[in-house]
Amino acid sequence: MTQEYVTQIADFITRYLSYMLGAGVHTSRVVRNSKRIGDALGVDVHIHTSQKTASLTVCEKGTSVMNTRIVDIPAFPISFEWNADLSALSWAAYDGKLSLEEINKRFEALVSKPRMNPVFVLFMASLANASFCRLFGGDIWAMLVTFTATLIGFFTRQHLTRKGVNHYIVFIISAFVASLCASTALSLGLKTAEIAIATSALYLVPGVPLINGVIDITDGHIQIGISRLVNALMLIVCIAIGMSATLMLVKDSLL
Amino acid sequence: MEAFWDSIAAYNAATWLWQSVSIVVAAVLTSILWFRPRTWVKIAVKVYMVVVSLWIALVYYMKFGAVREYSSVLAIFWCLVAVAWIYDLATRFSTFQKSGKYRPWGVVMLFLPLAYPLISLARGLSFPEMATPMLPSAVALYMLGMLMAFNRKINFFAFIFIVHWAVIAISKIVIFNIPEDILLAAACLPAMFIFFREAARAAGKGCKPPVKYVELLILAVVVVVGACMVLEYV
Amino acid sequence: MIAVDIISDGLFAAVAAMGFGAISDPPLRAFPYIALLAAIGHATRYCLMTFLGVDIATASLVAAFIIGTGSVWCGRKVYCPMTVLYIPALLPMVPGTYAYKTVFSLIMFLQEISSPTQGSEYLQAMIFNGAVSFSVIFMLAVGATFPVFLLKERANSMTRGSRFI
Repeated sequence: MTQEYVTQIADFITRYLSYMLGAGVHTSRVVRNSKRIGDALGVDVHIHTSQKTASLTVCEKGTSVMNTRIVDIPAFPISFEWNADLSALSWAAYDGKLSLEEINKRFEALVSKPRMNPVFVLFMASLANASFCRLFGGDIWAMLVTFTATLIGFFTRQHLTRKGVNHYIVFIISAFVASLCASTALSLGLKTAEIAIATSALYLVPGVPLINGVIDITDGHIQIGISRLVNALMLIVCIAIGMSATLMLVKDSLL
Repeated sequence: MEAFWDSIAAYNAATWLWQSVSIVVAAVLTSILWFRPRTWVKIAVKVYMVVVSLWIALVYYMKFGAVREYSSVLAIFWCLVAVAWIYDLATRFSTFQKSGKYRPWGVVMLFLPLAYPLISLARGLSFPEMATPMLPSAVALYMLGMLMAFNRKINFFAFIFIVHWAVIAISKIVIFNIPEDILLAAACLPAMFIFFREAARAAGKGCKPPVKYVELLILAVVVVVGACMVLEYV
Repeated sequence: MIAVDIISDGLFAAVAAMGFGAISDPPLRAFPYIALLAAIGHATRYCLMTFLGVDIATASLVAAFIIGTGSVWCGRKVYCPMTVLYIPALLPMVPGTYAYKTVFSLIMFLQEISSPTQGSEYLQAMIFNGAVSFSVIFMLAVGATFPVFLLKERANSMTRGSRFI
């Protein structure tokens, strides 16, 4: 194995790793899969990860031909599809003894798969929040109000994210808009209006980083697990800020 | 209910002159935009939208509706509608161009606000205690008509706010005995389907799931929302 | 009547899970299983809380454990890692009303800071609701992760031989 080939392998694993970490996959899976691809190509891979960067060493088995580098982790939107497909790719490489070129080709095909239609996501999220409202005991009006309030809030979020606004600000604004719209349910004199307000901002809850953080900690990647949890906590604080802005405005009506 | 209609009566009695001025301005701007579209008219229409939303928020809800419960919440909501139009004005998000599709719908919807007083008269109400085209729901209906008639690229924020308002308004039918608001709900549901379908198609290339399923989902949601409204009203 | 309650609870949980899942761009083939897991999990929690009087944190732990175990089985069918299935399925169990009441009590506490009796009441409500929401979220994550340790081999080779790449 030449130094050049090891460098090429390192190039690929770097991309693989940064895509997976960027798309919100928990650390131990990323490490395991990268090592598996390394195994398939006859190299050892050692990885250290943190929230924004990762460093890895690729070393040919039994010799000291190696390549070490530090990579930035790009901020992709969370994608479970990449999680599933890229994991499957590592197994395919391992079981099928694929060549580096073949793996590279498949990787390109997988990461250029179509993403969700934004209008579909908008409607699904709004429906989800409306059913959530029902689970908390809201009646049909509260559900309808929650539905349209989420429609507005989620559309705001999509629009601002597309514009490249800082995501904390996006969270604050969309939580504020959604809960304020839901608070118009108060004027209907519903008993369940408060449930509508409570649910309207919940589509923002960062479930993936929260659970990934706990998984990472239990897997022993405590540092990155804590960073993920802190990250999720910041987003939750942002939701709380946006919601409290609404509550300050309408609190007299709630008492 | 008493307070509701009393506040409307006070509002109409005090501001009928301003209301008619506003309706004339809207009619003039709309017809110029329809027959001789110019950039300044587009800007003027958006400014008019901002002014009319603020009018509803400040004059209708803060001044005359203050006796009613929770009027401040609704005032804040209409301020948000105004913000949506100001945002549109600043970023030139919508263009107010005709696309040729659904134009008859738009024309019908533009005339519907004028039907508000007629329905009131037909119900046996008399001035000032009657619905006028400057009530929140009628204004929302006018905005919806404008979006529908000039739908090349629409202001989605304002549109979703109107949808939300339609949900609020439909429940008022029962609570405050104002059946005029059925117009808004009836106009809103098809508009919801049409606009979201257009958006889904525009975004649909290279997306999953296939556009057909997204359209089905939108249709199903619109039908369910409509069914909920009917069910609750009956 | 009881059966209708349980089924509608599961149904709405399924819709909620699919919707929240859609935000994170899962593969389309995973949707039916996300819905199934969420429905089973949430209905279990509902039954435990309503009929057996179990507290919300323990019930969530049990439901999350069921979802986690189920995702090992379902994941093998659609070649998805467990997290893809169980994270969306857990989201309908997030204790939204408690979280909301925590924020609301905090705000009211800050408003009433000068009046000792009312202020402390709100502070108490805040700690109460905050403790419930924190422990439920923690239990959800732990309960769903636990099967990974029990079924290590199987859990780590879920996507092996996938037909979808």
